[in-house]
Amino acid sequence: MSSRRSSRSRQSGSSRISDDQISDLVSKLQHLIPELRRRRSDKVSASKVLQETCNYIRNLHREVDDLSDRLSELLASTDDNSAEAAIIRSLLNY
Amino acid sequence: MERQIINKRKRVFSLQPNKNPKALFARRYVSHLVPALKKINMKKSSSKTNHPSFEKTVKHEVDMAFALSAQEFAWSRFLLQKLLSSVHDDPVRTSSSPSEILERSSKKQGGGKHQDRDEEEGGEIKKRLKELQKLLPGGEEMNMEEILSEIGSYIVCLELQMIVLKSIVQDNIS
Repeated sequence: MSSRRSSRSRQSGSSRISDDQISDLVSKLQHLIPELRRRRSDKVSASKVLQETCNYIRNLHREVDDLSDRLSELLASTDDNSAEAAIIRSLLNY
Repeated sequence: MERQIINKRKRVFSLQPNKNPKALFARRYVSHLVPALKKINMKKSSSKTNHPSFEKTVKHEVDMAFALSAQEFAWSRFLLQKLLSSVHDDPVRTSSSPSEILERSSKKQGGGKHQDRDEEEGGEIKKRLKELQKLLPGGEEMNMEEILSEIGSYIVCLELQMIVLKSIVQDNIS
């Protein structure tokens, strides 16, 4: 009789998620999320890693929205010539 | 001064040669976004810029540039599809449809038994995984392996987008 943990099947069906997959995901995320890179890995639980990841992604979304609004303001407030010149400059610098 | 800042960023990319995909994404992103912004800028009239739809238009182009610059990833293709089909609606970031993939209630009891704790942890993890699935475009249609391979690129591309947008906005504020 298997324990209360989810089974270790390797089906790609989405209903069975193995512990290995979860720990793979968690270790990958730990390296990606700046907040978690600063802490020692053995101290952070899986659910905490996942939670921090969700928060991080939501923050990134929010920041993109904010930057997009600022970009709108920028485009709206400058006259045509300077805005174009500034944008072209950004393009050339890449 | 500006050139120094931007050159510094260039150095960041080139110091990590095996991270070329990052530079590729950034370049693609800029090459999609900048012409789109120029087009918006040329079309604008004074009445348009006061409209909230101007912000939406810009946001749409931002999202489109993002989705177009990483087509090698499933989340990008999914996002592109969503953006193209919702042109006249509000830009959709998170899906509102509930996922059936990780259905499991979590118990929040502070029980002392090992059984309860394991279940509580497992339930908590399932809950968080579900959240993560919702945040990743197309995540609700993906299985665990796909999420595993897609989530890394999604986060990295989001961060790169941040860098590009910041540099465009900040360098142009005089």
